[in-house]
Amino acid sequence: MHPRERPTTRRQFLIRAGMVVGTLSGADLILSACGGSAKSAATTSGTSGVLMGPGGIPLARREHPVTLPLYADNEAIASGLDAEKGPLQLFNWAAYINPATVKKFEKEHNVQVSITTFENEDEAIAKLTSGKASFDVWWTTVDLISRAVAGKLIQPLNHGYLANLKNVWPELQNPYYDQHSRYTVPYTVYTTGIAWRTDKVKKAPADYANPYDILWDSHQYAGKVAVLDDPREALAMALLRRGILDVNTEDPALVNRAQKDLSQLTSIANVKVNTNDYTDIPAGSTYISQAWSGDMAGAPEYLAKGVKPTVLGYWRPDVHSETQSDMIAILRGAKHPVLAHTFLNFMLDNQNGLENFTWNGYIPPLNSIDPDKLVSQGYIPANLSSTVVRQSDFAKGVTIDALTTEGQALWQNAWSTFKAG
Amino acid sequence: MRRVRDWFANPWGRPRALGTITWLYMAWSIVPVLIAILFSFNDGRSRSVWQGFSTRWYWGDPNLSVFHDPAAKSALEQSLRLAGLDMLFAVPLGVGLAIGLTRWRGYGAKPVNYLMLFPLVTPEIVMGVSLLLVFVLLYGIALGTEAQVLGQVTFSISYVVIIVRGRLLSIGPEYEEAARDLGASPLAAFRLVLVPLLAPAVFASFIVVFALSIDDFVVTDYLSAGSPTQTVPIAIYSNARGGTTTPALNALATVMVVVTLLAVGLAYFVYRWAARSQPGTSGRALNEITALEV
Amino acid sequence: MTRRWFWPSFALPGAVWLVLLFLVPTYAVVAVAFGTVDPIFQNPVPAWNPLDWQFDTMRSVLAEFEPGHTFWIVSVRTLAYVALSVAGCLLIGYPVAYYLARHARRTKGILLVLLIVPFWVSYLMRMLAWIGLLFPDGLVNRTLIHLGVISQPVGWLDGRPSSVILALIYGYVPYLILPLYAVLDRIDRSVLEAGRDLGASPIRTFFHVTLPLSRNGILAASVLITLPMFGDYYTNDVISGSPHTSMIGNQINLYFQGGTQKTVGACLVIVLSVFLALLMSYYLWVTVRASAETKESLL
Repeated sequence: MHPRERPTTRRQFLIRAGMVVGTLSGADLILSACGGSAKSAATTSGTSGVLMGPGGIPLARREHPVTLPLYADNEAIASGLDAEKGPLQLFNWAAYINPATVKKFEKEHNVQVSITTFENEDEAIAKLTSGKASFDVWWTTVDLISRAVAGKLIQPLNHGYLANLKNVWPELQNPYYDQHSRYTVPYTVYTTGIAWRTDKVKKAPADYANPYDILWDSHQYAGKVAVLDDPREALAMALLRRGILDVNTEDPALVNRAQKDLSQLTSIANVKVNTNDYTDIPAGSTYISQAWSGDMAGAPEYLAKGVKPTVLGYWRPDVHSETQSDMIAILRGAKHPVLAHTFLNFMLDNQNGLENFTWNGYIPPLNSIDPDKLVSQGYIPANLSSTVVRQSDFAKGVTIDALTTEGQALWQNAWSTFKAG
Repeated sequence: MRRVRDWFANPWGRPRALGTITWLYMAWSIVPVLIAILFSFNDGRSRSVWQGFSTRWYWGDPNLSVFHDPAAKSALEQSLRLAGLDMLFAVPLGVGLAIGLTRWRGYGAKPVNYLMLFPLVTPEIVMGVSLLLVFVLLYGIALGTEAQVLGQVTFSISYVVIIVRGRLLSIGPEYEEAARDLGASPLAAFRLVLVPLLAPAVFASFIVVFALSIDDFVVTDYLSAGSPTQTVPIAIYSNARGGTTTPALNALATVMVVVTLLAVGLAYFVYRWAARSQPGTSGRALNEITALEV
Repeated sequence: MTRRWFWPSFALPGAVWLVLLFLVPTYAVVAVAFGTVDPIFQNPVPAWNPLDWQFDTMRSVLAEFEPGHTFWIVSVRTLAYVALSVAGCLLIGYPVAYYLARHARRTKGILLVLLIVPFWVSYLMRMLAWIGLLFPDGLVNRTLIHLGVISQPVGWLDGRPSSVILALIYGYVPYLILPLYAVLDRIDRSVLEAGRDLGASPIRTFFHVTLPLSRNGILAASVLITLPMFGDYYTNDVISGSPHTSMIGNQINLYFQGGTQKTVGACLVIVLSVFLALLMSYYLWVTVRASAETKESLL
């Protein structure tokens, strides 16, 4: 699942009077280069040990970057064409893009934009493969990309229209899952960590030898503990707790042990399984929860009157934190491909990315966004600065990638066993 | 001791224990709903602590009240839309099926009868799953309002059949036969004799289908296409446990309850008026509706 | 003479509708359960032709029903919840139905109206009402603390089986009482009077005359709520967010709305349906046998 897979709508997470986004100019510091750049080296795949995904496309991993194939019957559009008249059809997660940003695009390019939303990836795929959909732009995730390309759902991009791609972090201009950004451009980056109520829980994750153990030591908070309702996320956390960095493992022994670890939480703390961390932690109905960074960045908005944001805590490891990125692609059957490219370019603009973030809580991987400035200028409370994702975090993190068919079944079954109680 | 026992268990006297139990049950059944309705008028954001009286969740609050929240309005509209379409299709189909089944003498009657009974005892999730699969994989029908209507009609038909059939059985064939003896064609006998006699039952089935559709959750959810086709039960299911859910949800549910009760109340009085001179009715409309003939 | 096709033709549209939208979908579930998946998107590829059926998925699903495995645990739990809930519904519902049918005279009208009202209130709204009451700061906790029964607020919504069972009882009992009342209402008074005339005490009359006569009604009403309850998943979802109380319906829902293995979900649906069909057959066999016995005893 995805942070956006929840049925309720999000509201603007920062409504502070006088907070004019325009004060942050585009000429801010470029983040210094950070370590771990070896991971973004453009090594080719094809060595043994690389798993094959559907359609003969190797599954991308950080250590096995993949250049997605181009097909003769699925070519990019020509350069230098004029934009179509619209309306532009967006197919996005619910409440994942700032309505004001969309309106800005409409004004600037004198077109109508219409958004259709989906609640989860399966629903999106079902709609797109049914042949009845007619969207232009689609928001997708790392584990869906190879399938989308193999199934020829998305079209290759023509970088002639994407001048703003240079605003993006270098490693995400050439990401391991889509080398040379053939089919996608990045949208947001986020981490998965643990959120807790500092006023209700005695020990913070950092006080434990193994910080993940805060969840396993929670019997005194029984009924107030939650994990994310996502087959990959929760099991991945159980793996990381054991020091297993390959969160895409297809080893049944490891996955089943992760499931048993998770099932312990059911008996220890009657763990809840949902994606309401962003409201339940501020409301106090959950004290400890696995959470997404963007959710907690926006959590202060949901606090009751008079409660200070300092009651919220978010932890993720400095190294090997579980990081994810979302991206935007253009569908193969898009009726307005040039306009779609223009939209992608628009979203990669520094200003627009920042505006989107103030509504979203999820950080776009743009060089102009300085995480320290975000805290100092009050976008994010100081005690939640760990929700920010820096380039270095992404470089040192682990990512949930696509699995083979057997791997998917393995993980799904483990998840179903955990959910059976 | 015997006197105390008799005092309790006299079937001809006034059984106080049973009476007490019954009234307690009624309270237990209805009071929680009344409290939920009460909280829809809560001044604060809590659904469990009373903070004063206010109508903000209905129309006061500019963002979250039922009147102003586009999602809430859309859910209400969709619920009513589906209910209307469901009534439109399910009642004629069900009435026809009831008439046909009661009068059918041939071999096909029994299997069709069983076919009609099965949706009544099928769990909704089984129906939801099967409809979802068949729409996507076989019929190529897109999920959304059309699919939801098709699904709702499918399980509503059986209820219509039961209601109408009960009435048909109690009417009996004599009136039509009398009309036929007097020279009417089968179609005329049907039109002029049977239809007016059936009117109260048909009317009752309209109301039952309305209520079934308004309350339906599983089939509607499985066949929905995302937020534009959300109904009120789906909205409740999605937000019931949410930490930020306000009493606006209670307000939305209350609006739905009021609409349904108004419709039912109206129907009841029309039914009584229509059935006042009907043969075969006991005049106690309540008894008619509750005398289920499966 | 009316033509033979006159009356059946009324039934034709409805019958066709049910065939297309009930019977065929049932077959679609079978075709998906015994079908395959497309390799790229894991969309189910149904096997319409029985010759193409493959049973690997079903075999692996059935393997998980062995004692100790995933589906076994959930099934046992579901059986327990349903059994307890139906028993609870009967315990509460029978006295109420009995009172309404046999005793309430002046108040019968009002009571019937009150009885029917929950039907017009959405199931989920009734659950919503209880959620409001069961919050840590809700009325239930506050009353219990006030009465001194408990000293700390209890987390009723934190994955407790008792909460789920009580919610199931609350949700389904109206659907039991109404048919039960309809049956009890029809029991002839004179039969009960005969029992009294022959010297039976009120309690004996109840146990030896009333209860046996209402047995069929009890069974029918119980079946009417048991079968849907087996497929219930939303009660658990709203009353308890925890896997600790998940029912078989939750597992089916998981595979369909949250996963890529719809074939597994379809297999689960088939297993559930077969189980319910067996239950239904047992019920029918019992009632047919009972009515045969009554016929014999009357001859």
